[in-house]
Amino acid sequence: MAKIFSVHAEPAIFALCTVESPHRRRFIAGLLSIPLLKYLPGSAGLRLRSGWVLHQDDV
Amino acid sequence: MFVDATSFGADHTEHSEVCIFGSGPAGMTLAYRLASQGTRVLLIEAGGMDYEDWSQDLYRGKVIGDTYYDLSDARLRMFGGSSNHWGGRCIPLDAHDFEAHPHFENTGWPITGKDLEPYLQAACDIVEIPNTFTDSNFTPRIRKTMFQYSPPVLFGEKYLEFCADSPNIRTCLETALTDLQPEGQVISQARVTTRGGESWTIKADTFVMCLGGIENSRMLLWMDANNNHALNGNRDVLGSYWMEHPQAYLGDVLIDAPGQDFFSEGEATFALSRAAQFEAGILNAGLELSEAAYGRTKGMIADLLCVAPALGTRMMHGIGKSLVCGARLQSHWEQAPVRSNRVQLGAELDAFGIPQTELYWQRSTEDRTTIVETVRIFAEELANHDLGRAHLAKWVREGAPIPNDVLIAGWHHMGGTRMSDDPARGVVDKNLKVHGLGNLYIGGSSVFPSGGYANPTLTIIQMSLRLAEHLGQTGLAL
Repeated sequence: MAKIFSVHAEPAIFALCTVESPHRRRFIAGLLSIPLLKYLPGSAGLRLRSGWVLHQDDV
Repeated sequence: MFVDATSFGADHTEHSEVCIFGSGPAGMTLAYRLASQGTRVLLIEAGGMDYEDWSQDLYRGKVIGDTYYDLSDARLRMFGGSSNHWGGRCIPLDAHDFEAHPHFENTGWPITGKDLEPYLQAACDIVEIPNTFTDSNFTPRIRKTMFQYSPPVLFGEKYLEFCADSPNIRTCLETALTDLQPEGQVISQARVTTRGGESWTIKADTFVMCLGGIENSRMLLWMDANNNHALNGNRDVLGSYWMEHPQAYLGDVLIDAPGQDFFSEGEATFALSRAAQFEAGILNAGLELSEAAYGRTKGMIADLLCVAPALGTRMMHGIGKSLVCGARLQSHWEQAPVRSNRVQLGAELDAFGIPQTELYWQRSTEDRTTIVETVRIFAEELANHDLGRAHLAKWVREGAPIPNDVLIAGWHHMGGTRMSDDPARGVVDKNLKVHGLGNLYIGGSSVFPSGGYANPTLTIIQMSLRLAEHLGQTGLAL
């Protein structure tokens, strides 16, 4: 079982998420591939500021 | 038969083997069972046959602390009691709800789940549900639970004919208990007052108060004070350790568990395993998922795409094949029994000159921790086992107080006359007899030492059936 860990995402990502755009998914996916996410190890679950509790393999 | 108590004069005395005050689920179950066994029962109901403002106004009171419902709305003072607005949701307490929790003082019952089990089938028959409460492992730390729904049974309606026809039961409406008069270690008589203000007397071998989860405390406090504290020596406990089931919206969930029919019963319900709950050092909580509309589910997936595109894409494909669905997550959970949450006598008087209720109620830090930890574990288990993903409500993830929105609590009034073998820690013993008195008993959820997360009505009925058996065995009632 993969370990779940905490993640804090940069606020910029969530600002972008509020913008409706046909290219949003691709754009966000592109963003996620560069180090805009700061991974913080922890045992409390993968918590994003967006509120999703995710698995480490999800991002 | 129904007796017109309003015609009785001040010198009238009714005699009975057992006198029961209150015709809600606790009182009516006891009356029905005892009368069916041949015991002569006098059933006293403060309200009338139907809802009426004059009666409901007698339930007015003040709440101090957190936002709570108006006390004249939160229960019903009429034949059948609060079953008249019952939702019908039934589940027994978990076996571990009866245990003393290592992290919480004042938990632990003087009986176990095994003591109530023999009455479960009969209780289910009364509320017209199957005795089927499957409880299976969903993940190692999460149980999938099952509620049953009563039609719901309205106790006044269901037992109206029985009360009218049984030769063993006499029922007085619009007649309120106003005093219990002790003589040594027994209650020698009760005084009741009709709607019109006429008072008369009841003499019985056994008296049982089934007035409700607030009124049992209020009336016992009042009558105890009126009788130089001869009804209850323990003024530290009487009225205290009052509890509710706080409720809150916790977030949304995308369920991704092909092959599992989550919503065949209209909702999917979960709870932590005993081990997970005790390890986390929290109390019990029920989690409820109710299926979200398609549009809302799509919105959730769109949000997920922002932070986990691959997963969001998978979910998006799943929704098209009905393999993924969205759900709203909410909970009602166990509140820690603390002395500061209590029923007290207020300064305002009701129409009978009895102090109105002053209810102190606050959700503690521990109450918040119970639900936040429960949903954290639930969300982690979903992700770990790839059964779905949870999106937590802002108040959960940001450490904010439990919100006071439409979901406040379950209208479940518990505690105040709690059960304990130790007279210093409880008002009634394990047989529901008031400590120090030989013939006064209390029925209903006011005797619960802790509340689990189970809606209390089924347990109330089980306990009334057990009390009927106890009264029969001890010869007090038969």
